[in-house]
Amino acid sequence: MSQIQANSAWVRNIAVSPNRYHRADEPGLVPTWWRANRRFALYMLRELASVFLAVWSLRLLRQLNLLRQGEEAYDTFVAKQRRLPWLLFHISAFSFALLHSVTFLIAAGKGPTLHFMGRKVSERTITAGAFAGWAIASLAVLLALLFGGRGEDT
Amino acid sequence: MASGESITLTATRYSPEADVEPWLQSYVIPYREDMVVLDALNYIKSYVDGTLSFRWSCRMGICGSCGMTVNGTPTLTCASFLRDFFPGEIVVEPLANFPLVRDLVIDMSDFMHKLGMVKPWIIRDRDKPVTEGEYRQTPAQLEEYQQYSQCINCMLCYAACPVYAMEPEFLGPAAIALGRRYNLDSRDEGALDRLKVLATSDGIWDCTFVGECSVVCPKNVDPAKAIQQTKVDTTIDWYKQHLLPWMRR
Amino acid sequence: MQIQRDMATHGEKDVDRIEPFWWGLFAAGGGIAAMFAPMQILLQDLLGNAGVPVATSSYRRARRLAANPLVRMYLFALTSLSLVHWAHRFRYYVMDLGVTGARRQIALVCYGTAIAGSLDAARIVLRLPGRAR
Ligand code: SF4
Ligand code: FES
Repeated sequence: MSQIQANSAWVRNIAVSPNRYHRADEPGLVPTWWRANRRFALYMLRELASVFLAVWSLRLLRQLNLLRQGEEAYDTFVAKQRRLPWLLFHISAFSFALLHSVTFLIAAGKGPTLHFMGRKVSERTITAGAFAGWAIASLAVLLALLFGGRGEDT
Repeated sequence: MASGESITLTATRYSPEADVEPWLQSYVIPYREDMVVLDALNYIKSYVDGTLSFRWSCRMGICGSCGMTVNGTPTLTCASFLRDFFPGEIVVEPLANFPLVRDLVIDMSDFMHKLGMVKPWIIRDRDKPVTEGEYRQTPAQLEEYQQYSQCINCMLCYAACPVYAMEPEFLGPAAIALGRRYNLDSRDEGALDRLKVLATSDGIWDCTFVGECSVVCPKNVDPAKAIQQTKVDTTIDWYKQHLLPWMRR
Repeated sequence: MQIQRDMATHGEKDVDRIEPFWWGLFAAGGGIAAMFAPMQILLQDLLGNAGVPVATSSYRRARRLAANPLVRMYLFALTSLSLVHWAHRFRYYVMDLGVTGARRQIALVCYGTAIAGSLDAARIVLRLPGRAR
């Protein structure tokens, strides 16, 4: 391209201000880039939430698997969840899950292009719908876990 | 300047002939509440140091040429008031992610190239003869794309984007938003053409929805939304094509 | 005109054919986790372990609940899609953390783990014990 855009030209780095530059042909993202502002840091946490959700899912699968092994194995596993390391994990998993829900449902308003009676449905309406869905889903989980599985064995 | 107050403005200096690397120079100039950062730069150029280089034109947030990094954030300097920083200092640097030409001036050819790639004009299979009149549009049809048509090509979104920093091949926020703007236009027939550029790994799929482009955009274009919507549309099309093959006959 | 010339010289790239597939599953996983996970963690793993009598704290109740086919479908969708959601995000997260090379390999490991995990989830959910003893 133009001679100005030579590979050796200086490029201001996104990450650290002021006065940090790299050459045009070098990678422009330093590993600490997300410390440049709070939104970047929040983005990194938001993405990290997926790790906690995945580990939590695997842990849930293990617990489900023990249903087959009988009451004792299951109860031992559940009892272990009360220990401090697991407690800390569950607290973090819950916090990250909340962060994930809020950021994901806000972003959901920016996804689909919906129409109602020939007009565009606004981003706000879609986001509001997503949060309403969250409330309903949470209620379903609440009812299932508080009242589900009661009664006599047949 | 009755008050006699002053403010310190520090600007990036770089001359490819004389300097090994960019450096910072501070100027103390009179402060007035109604001055914007661009006014301060012009004051310096007129009265303090005529060698300071920067771009500007309209002074009213419409030409998109005065974008610089102000205290770390990509900003239109003609729309950024000194009073928002006063009595603190102001550091003005060139936009990030673009090669530096001189002082606060960057080389925008990569952006111009990418803009061209999305064909930001109305494409018709066959143009309607002038005698048949103009292409008409209802308010609802205008509303479909209007937000994305507000882009002034200021490149703040590129300077804010960590993906573009890492991945110079990335088509980038404004180009994708403008591609979508024409794809949503009822008069346009070039959507398939543009999707060949948009729905690629260097296009929408490179984006991880950091969202900083939409934060810094001075025109509320919300390019992150344009990218997200294109992802959703493309994905729905993919599943329709692969899971409902009978729909295609 | 500069732009016209660029257009002529720039070959159109290929549309990415597999990304929409993963992105669809990723979005579904993010959605289901966003809707259901916080409440389930709160009750099952925080309040439940603190003594609130939730179904999962009791073997019998958990077993009876998991006998419900709807609950099984939910558990499979939640766990497997959460794994795909992780895979797709983590693949890019590695780059955000500064790893620039080995993209294909990283993607393979991420999606591979998610597929293996989903198969395991299917196995576990299908073999859940039934209602009666
Ligand atoms: S999308 Fe916004 S920030 Fe980006 S070039 Fe257009 S007006 Fe500027
Ligand atoms: S000078 Fe035109 S946008 Fe600032």
